[in-house]
Amino acid sequence: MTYQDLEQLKQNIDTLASQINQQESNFKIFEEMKTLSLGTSDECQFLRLVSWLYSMYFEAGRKSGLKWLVDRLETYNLDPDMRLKNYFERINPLRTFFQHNLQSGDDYNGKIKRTCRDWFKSLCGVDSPLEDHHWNTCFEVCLKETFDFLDAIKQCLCEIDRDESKDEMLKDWLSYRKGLFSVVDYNNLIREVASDLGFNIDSIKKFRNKLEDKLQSKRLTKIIRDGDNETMTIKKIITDMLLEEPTVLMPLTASDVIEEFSIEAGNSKIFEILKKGKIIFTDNPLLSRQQLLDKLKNELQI
Amino acid sequence: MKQTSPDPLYSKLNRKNPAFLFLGQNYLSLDSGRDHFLAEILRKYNNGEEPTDYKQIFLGEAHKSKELTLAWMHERCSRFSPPQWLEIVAKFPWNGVYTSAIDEIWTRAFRSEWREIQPIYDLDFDPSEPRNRSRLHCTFLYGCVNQTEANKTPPLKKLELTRRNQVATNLASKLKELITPLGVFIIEGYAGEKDWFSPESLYPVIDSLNPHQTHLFSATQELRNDEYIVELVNNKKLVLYSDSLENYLLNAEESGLIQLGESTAVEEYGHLITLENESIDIPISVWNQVSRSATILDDSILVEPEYISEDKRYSEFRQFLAESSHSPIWSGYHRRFAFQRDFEVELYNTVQKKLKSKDLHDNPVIIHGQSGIGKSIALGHLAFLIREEKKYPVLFINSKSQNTQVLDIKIFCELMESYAPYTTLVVWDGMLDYEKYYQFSRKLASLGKKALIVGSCYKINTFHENVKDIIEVPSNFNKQSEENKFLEFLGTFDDSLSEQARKIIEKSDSKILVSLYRLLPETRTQISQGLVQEIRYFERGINRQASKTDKSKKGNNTNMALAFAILQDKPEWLEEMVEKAFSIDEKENFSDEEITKVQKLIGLIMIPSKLGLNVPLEILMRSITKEGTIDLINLLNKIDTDIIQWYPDATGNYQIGARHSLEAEEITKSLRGSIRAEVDYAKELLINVRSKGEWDTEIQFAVNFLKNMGPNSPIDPNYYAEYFQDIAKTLKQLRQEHSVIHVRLMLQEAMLLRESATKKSRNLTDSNIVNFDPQIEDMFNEGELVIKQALKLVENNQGNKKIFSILYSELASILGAKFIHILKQDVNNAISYFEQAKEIAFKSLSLDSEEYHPLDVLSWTTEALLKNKKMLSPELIAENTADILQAFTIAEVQNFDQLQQIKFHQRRAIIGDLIEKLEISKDAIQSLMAIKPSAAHYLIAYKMLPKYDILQSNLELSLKQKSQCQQVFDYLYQHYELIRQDGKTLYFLLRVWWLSKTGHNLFYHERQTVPFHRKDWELCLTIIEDARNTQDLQYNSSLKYLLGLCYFHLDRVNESLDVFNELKEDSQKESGSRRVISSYLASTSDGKPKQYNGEVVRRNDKGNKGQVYVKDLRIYVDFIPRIFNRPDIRKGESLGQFHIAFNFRGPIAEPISLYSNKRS
Repeated sequence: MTYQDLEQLKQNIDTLASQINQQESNFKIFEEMKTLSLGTSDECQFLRLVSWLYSMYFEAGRKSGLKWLVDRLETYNLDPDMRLKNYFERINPLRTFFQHNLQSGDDYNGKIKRTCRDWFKSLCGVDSPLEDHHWNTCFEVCLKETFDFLDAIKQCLCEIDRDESKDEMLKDWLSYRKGLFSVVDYNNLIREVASDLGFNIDSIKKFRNKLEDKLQSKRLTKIIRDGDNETMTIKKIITDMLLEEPTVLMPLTASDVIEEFSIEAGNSKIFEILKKGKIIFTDNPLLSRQQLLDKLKNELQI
Repeated sequence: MKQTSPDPLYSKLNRKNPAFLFLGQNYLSLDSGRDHFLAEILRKYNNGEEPTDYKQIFLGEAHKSKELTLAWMHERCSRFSPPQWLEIVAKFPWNGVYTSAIDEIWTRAFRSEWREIQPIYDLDFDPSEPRNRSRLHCTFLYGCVNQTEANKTPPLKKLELTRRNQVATNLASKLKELITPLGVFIIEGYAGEKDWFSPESLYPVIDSLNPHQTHLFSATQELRNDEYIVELVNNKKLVLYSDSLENYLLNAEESGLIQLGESTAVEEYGHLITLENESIDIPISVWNQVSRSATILDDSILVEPEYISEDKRYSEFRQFLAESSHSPIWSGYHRRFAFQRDFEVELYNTVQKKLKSKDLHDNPVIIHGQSGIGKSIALGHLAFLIREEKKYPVLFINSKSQNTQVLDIKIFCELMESYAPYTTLVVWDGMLDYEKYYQFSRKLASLGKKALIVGSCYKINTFHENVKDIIEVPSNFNKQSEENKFLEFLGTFDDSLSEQARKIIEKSDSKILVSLYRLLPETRTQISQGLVQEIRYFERGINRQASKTDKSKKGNNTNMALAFAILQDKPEWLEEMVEKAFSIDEKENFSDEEITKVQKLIGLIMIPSKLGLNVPLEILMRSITKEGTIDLINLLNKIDTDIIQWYPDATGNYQIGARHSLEAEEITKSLRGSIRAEVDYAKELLINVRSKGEWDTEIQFAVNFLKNMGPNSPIDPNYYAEYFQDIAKTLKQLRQEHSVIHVRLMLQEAMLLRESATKKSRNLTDSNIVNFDPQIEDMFNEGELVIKQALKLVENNQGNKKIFSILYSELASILGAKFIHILKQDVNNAISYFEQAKEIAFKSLSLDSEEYHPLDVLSWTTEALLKNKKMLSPELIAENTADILQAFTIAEVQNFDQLQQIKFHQRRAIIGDLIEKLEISKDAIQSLMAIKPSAAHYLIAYKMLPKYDILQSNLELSLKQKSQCQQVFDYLYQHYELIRQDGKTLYFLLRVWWLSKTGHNLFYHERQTVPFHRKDWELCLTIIEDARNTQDLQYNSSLKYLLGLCYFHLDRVNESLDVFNELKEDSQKESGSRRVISSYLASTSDGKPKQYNGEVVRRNDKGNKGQVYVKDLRIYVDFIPRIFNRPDIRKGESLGQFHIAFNFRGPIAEPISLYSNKRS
């Protein structure tokens, strides 16, 4: 099992996908990506493999809806014990585990830590690989699973090709892909909006990451819908982000509202009142704290 | 800022209100405009027609071979993905999903780590927890393609649709009760006229709900024009949205108004329990089962809560005070909101000590004290602290939990113990009769589960001095230690608070803890102003109180009276509430009074609340709604109070109740109600109970309600005593007119009748005995009849022995009470009832020799009988003396809990004294010999015993005593033919024989060996087999155990294993820690343990279970690798030499060291 074998398998998959899906010209599962350079040490090999796999599945394979294909493995009984699905879902946590410092007191990475530790423990009997042979085991297993996974994806495509419901399935796949954007698509949209506004963005990558975080937090990555124009929605979000510059601070805090209106902390009315205050203040940024409170009281008839 | 418009939808999507989703047949095409699943069906069966609606299926050939078609359709489901918008919608924790779709594609979106799916296809399945968010009930109105049974498959012909429509309508009609007036009904993907569930069918469902409860998303123009929809919109029953549900939810989430999915803490740490260095994942099925009974304290409760401002901290503290009486606010414990009282130190230390012990815990730790003095918060705190240490798994059961089942706790302990021998701490703030905790502990111990129960109960003054681990919660703060600590504690919320609180605390007791929420103003800035007002008010209350002399104010303690003053003199909130209750709405006649609906609602909620119970919402709805629907929310809004709160439990059942039982008590008084009126409210609730099964929430509520009102009430057994008969009548009405026929309710009914009759009988003085009230006997007769009917309802099988025993025990009580009643008038007539009571009590004992109550009945009836010795014949005295002594002989005292053992010995002492005074003559025994020789021989033999309590002794017998026992045996054995039909005497014979041979009572200690030769075992077997052939002892589990032991030692090993297998089955249902104790070892005739060897045939991964092949015996025996200190022992390896021990679950291989250590 070499990198060349891996590349070959990837190409076979793309060829097969394009044969099946002739309605879209030059359809590919994986977009162009950097070649895998493994390095020499066991640790380095494993880390680079994980990083490369992440790029392959979640960047190069995003727009084609690889996830839809993974869900079909079950349809054709190609993953009876869910081993391959678990492998696929493990790549992202592994990358996060190694790329971010999860040892800090941040409690909210428990699931990632757990997923990775469980896997390491099952392979090497330790929470995290330490010795060369640990790294080597992880690398070997991961590489083997990668071949198995890609092989299953290839078989899945063959099954779809043979399936009497193939046409309808391809339409379903297409629906799934609607609204999925590649990295290049995002970069182009950011450049377009920024240049229209006369902005000069220093780091497209940084901005794109921020945009993706925002889309992710809104769970909009795949489901942006504004009429039928997802591009327009993303453009609006980019515009909004670019305009989010700090202005003159409103002279009110939640404590002012709690005190003046005798509302219990945590009550959603505080948010409503502050929102109202923000609107008033935006129209008249010279208002003092008391003036703004008076206006609010007046407006809310309290 | 009063709200005039209806609450926006998002405010109801808050996890507290039920939320049901309806997915229409457009759901698959909503996003892409094309339903790929339908398109495929039409390609196959309708020549590729373009898909528009599911009625097209009827025009094709799908119906021709329905089974094959459905199988093919089912296959197609896996080829398509659920629409992506549904992934978002599915993140919301719905209480249930209804659909007119027939595929199963959508269900994939709803399955998750924290949620399993429970499909409903027809009316046959009536779930007990239909709103459980983590076991999502998905109702397929038209069946599903994945089914094969005719009533669960979707229609493929138009006529089939017509038939199925009826089922769909009936299924949908349940929505009203499920959604309740608190909930919302959300519709998405509805296809209108094209949907199989047409607007005409949908109309009555929505119309039965209150205004603004139903919300339809992605509403098309076509839908908006539909006449039914228009009507519903005009009546404000339906709100239409052009936007999609997905967008609505996303926007609401983005604005921070709702939360999709679990909180981050739960998502990260939910269902995970970290103990020491081990993380245990709780499978969703275990989670769901255990959650029915208890809250699992998983890692999510340990996650540090986010930083908050001082204002927010104060407001959270108030919330903590307000809600902790219902269930613990874990984040509040994290933020150290719990004021720690002095007794908590003792509680914590006791619990720690017991947790560290390796023993099974068949006795609980109990805290007791008045209501509202900090028990609930202390128990929550204890649970939190122990969990925080990450050494023991913890479960918490709150006071409002109505259906706690041993098996649910057992399954949790089992999971924990499968990792390591963890003891589970079960903190149960049940405010139950303390005996309940004893029973529960004993049951868990008998199942071999390591669990320590810590329970709460009302103040009890009559604990026996021998009862251990009982901690009293003092009503008053300790002046030295607690008062200052409390003030300092308050000072952490606001500097000025502690100084102001000093004025209150000087005049109050620890009930201040429950009133504190009311005393503290809503915001910190109001503290000084607010508190001053309350103090002034408080002082006014004291003055008024001082001028009153009211018997209801318990005790003379000034502090107590002051605390009552706070509540009884009606603070403003209470006055306002009562005023509103009397003034709002039209009036109706209830309990001979004109009352408003609001007043009735308050009464219906407060009566159970003051007894510590919340009312299931469904019962309340039925009780308040005679015709049509009523807007409960609107009604509650009218009184605008936080006194009444509704709570969903973990399984999605809704209960409504007062914030605290003390407040409920005060409100009840303020409503100027009499006990009569309270009983009327109770009856109104009871008559509206309906049921879905034996362990249904409503039945459980009714049983708990009756228990708390009834003669065994842990609160006040006499308060409602005058009305027991009246309440029993309501239960009869419930049975006869509403067909709610439940054994547990019938048992309560009979008990109420018995108590009522007994009370009236007791009140008969010598002067009025002449005017004997026939009603009393009628009540006894009625109670007897109810139990006899209940007995007919219970299926006659081994598994129901316990319930039979309980019913017989109650029947014996009724007959016994009737005997005592009639004894006052006619001794001869009375004796026949005594005989019946005795026979039934023995029957109860024969079914469950661990049940104490039939022994109790036998004792007090015999005592009453023997006290009338002048009226009785000598042989009757002798016979009944023999019977009661025999009853004591067969009692499995060692399996009684601590309290029952105490009661048992007290009863035995009373009877012993009585018998001694009776001086039964030889003539009497001779006369008895003619009627009942076995009893006569028993009496003679009993008198020969070296000591009267020798059969209950734990000491080793002296040689002389052994020899005396041998003489007793010899005497009885001479008359074996005469006694062999009498199980009780045979059991006595067996016990004295055992004593004479071993010097110890049966089951006296662990890992005993007996020096029996083959002929001894044969004799033992003969006695046991004869005893088991009698009615009295056919089910006796001790004899069954001994039978297995005999077979084993007589080389009838396979028969022995069969007996132990039966015993294992029985032990699932019975209690007593002896069941998991290895009482005897396989022994040689010289009384030494026999040694075996063998090879391991299997071992589980965790090293806590294994099986060894014993070559000498050619059998497989279980063993615990960890006990052999070889958790990693492998298949094929020799286990070395070992002993075979026997507990009630069968033989088990044990290391030799266990026996040797015992000896040393």
